Amino acid sequence: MPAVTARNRRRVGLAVLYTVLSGAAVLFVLPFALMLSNAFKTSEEIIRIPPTLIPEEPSFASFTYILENSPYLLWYRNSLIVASVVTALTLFTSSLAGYIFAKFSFPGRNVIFVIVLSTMMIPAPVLLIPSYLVMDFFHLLNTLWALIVGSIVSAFGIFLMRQFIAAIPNDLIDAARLDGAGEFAIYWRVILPLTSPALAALGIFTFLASWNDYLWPLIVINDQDKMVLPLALTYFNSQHAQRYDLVMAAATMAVVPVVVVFCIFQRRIVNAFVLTGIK
Amino acid sequence: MATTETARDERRQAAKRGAVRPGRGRQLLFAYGWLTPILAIFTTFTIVPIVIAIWLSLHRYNQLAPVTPFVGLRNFTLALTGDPLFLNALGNTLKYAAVAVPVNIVLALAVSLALNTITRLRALFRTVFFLPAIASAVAVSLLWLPIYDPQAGWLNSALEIVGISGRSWLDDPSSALWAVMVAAIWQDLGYNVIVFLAGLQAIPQEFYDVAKVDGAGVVARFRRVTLPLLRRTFVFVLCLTTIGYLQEFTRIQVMTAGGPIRSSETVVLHIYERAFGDFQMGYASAMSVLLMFLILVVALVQLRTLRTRWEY
Amino acid sequence: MTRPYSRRRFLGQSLGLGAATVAGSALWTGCGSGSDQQGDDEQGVVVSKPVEGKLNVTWWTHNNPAFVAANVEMIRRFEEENPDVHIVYQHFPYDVFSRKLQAGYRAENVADIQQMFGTWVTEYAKNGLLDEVPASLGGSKAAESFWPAAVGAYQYKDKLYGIPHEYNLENGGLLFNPRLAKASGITEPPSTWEELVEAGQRLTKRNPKGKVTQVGLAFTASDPITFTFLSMILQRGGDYWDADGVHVNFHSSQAQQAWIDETELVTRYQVDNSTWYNGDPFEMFFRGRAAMAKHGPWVVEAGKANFPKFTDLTYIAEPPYAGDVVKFAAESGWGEVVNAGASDENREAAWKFIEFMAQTDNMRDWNARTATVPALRELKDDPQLLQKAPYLEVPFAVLPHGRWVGQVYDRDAFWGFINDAFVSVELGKADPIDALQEAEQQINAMIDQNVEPR
Repeated sequence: MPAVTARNRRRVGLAVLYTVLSGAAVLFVLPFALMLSNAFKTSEEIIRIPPTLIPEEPSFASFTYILENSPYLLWYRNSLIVASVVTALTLFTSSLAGYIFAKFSFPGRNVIFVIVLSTMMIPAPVLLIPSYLVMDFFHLLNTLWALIVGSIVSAFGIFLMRQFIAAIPNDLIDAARLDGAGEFAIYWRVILPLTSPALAALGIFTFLASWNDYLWPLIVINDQDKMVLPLALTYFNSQHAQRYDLVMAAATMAVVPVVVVFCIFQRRIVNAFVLTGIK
Repeated sequence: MATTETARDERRQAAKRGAVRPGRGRQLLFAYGWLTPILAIFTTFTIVPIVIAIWLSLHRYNQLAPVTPFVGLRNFTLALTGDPLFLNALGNTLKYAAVAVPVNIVLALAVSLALNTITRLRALFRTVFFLPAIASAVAVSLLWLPIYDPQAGWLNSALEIVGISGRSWLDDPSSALWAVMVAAIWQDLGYNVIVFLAGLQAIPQEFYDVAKVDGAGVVARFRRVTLPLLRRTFVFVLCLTTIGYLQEFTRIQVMTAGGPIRSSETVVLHIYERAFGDFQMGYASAMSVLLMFLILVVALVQLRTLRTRWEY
Repeated sequence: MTRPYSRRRFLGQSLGLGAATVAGSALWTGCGSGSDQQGDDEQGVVVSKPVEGKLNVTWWTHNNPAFVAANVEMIRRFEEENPDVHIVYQHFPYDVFSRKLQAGYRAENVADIQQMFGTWVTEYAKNGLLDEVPASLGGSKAAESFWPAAVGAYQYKDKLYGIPHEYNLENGGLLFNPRLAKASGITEPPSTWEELVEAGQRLTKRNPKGKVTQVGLAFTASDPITFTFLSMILQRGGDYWDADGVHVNFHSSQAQQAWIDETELVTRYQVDNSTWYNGDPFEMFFRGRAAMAKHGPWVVEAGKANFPKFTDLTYIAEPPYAGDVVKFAAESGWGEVVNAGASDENREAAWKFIEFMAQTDNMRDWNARTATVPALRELKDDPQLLQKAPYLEVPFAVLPHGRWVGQVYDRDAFWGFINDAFVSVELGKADPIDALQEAEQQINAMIDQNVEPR
């Protein structure tokens, strides 16, 4: 009898939970729905007040206009290259450095770690010109490298990975060492699989940051054919006239890879649950 | 045979005390060998610009002027004693972070616990809560402006239905900062939810099973298993959220431009305006260094405090 | 046509990217322009790369499509006449352009020619980064062909550092909705200040609950507030600059009276209030929710582009507040400057190109294509421009009464302090004169820091 009550209580609890979550979810999903809807509206319909939720005459005009009137695919390619390279390298450097900071003790470890952390604490505006001067010193201005090299080692990533790797029992590493595994092999075969949820999260964050970065690329790149995707969103605006029809379509096209990346990494998070269960 | 066992035990003991003992050169070589190139890149492209900024803070530096005279600590004393706008901005920033950080973390923790509890549709919900985070800060600010519009704003319209007369949220000095904060938390929640979820999922299920067998209820399991094992994740989230809100900038710039009457001007907005509007990059750098120290102190206090409380 | 910064403009320009992006932004502004509204000549997609065997001169501008189209046309005409020179054209979004210039000049890695906003020019000129207008263009004498307001910021210590393209005025005209006016029994546009205030009051409508449903005279944004204030001081025969010509003086009787009269528009007559709406006054007007709005002539084209279906518009002359004419102050607008660090050969070619663009016909076409008011004196009352844009009659009438605003240093801070003072009075948080004195102190402190940098 008590068991039944407990199960009932749990059911009611779950029902409440789902209701609350669904309510909140509507608030979170609305902007996305509106963006998609607007991307297919005609330029006339988009300025209507109150707005229509579903386009009356769905149209692809905005998409074709963008593709025909800007080097959109080239920017797309550049953005994909930059964001993918940055993400891959950041995952590698963050997990490796995070592992070293978490599991090795060596002279200067804590000092170095605090210095790395403190780099996140200086506000970005004052770093714009110093960073530009550094890029100029290495003759990287107006190249895609200028968008990559500064982002492949991330204090945020190192901190995140260190926190997660620190939670892994040392016994595992020890056991692997006793089994004769090399240090790099331990990192690659033992540590990395155990930190998939954190890696997945970091991968999403890093890709997003790179994909959405607007100011820095425009500051360091001059040539149109080296520009990246975010430019498309302001490309057709004039001083006082915003082409919302085009902006919506550009934003919709830009978001597709982000959603793909998110889904890929999300699967990793789920699978990782099974993996971590092993220990 | 026996000696190996002992050695192994000893190493295990050492391991439990803290880190793996370096002992062997092989491990040190690995640590230094990989850390050196990583930190070299980091130093070149991240630390050097910061060092330049710190150097600038000791100079009168106009990015367009040919000369940059050394002024010692004058920029710092000016910020602390001669610039009421900086102190005003500092006050706003502290107020903002003091509320935004705990609210964000409590909400994010609640959502991630809920998501960790449910089994169906978990992936869907997780994606949904992360959607606002996919957008940039500028985009989110643009999204929230019509909500707060005093004429046809959704918020005021909704309040009118329940018989409350709204206000001009972003034009009122008593509400502007908080109105921006709501938008900020709405956007940032997804990040922290993702990190908390990753942390929750790194907790082995067997810990919960054992606790259950011991007869621990939901609350007891949360306090005895979840919280302690989530400690490192929590420290990370707390640190990063604090850093983020103490540097609040873009959303303020877009939604209120610091107004009305500077009631929502944050430190970084003030720094930005001095740096690029006034060409006072040296002074802006000095304020940045002050903010960096403030954040560093707060972060170290957080790290210290939490380390002792939830050690397991 | 152009303001270097306003909250509203920053929004439009820097839509930040990412996904959910803009989702709501369309809802909020409810604006956008029809794809048919902008002719083919406004597609801002043309850039160019260096051509081997030619003298390559680089040119940076911001990316307003109308400006880009006009600029590209100038390049086409110039290269036709000068086949040995190639203009390498690159343009960037407005909101990053000024920072890109600052970083580029610091690293000495910048284009040969820039189209800068006038107010920015002085600081670059002061620091020796810009080439002086050469004798071939008339040297500093070249300034005489332009209106003082348009060329003011291009001059530093009696030397000229660039050629302005437009007269960037914010005064002299009002957006007027005849339909809403008639509905309130107003058949003629106001022709005196008293009539204007009275019309503003009559055209402000509230619903039974007291909520404002129609604004009489919308002007509460940083730009209109400041430019109206400066203009009112000048019309009273006063000056906002102190005797030293460096600091501001807001404690003259003229300045105080102007300020009281301006703030009373919101406190006593209640023709507008900054808490009634978000966004710029002109948006309220084009939504049909403001019967009058105070803006410069750029607002007509901006409105057309943003609200193509709106027709209840006349652009009327602003009645003088005091005296017979609307005296006013204006910032210098967009124009060309040359990087002093470029090679001799490039600078020479750069000036040649600028000289070409400064020919009357080219200037006229550039203004016509960008819908800007000409900086060139000669083009006042130009029949071709008036035929294309009849509303230009209003600004043309006041051009001679304008003066350059002066060296304001940090422009956004200057405007911001006046705006803060205005809002404090509006919200009842400060006495008008106290608020004005505080603004004066703050602006003068800002100026001091720039004159004697810290």
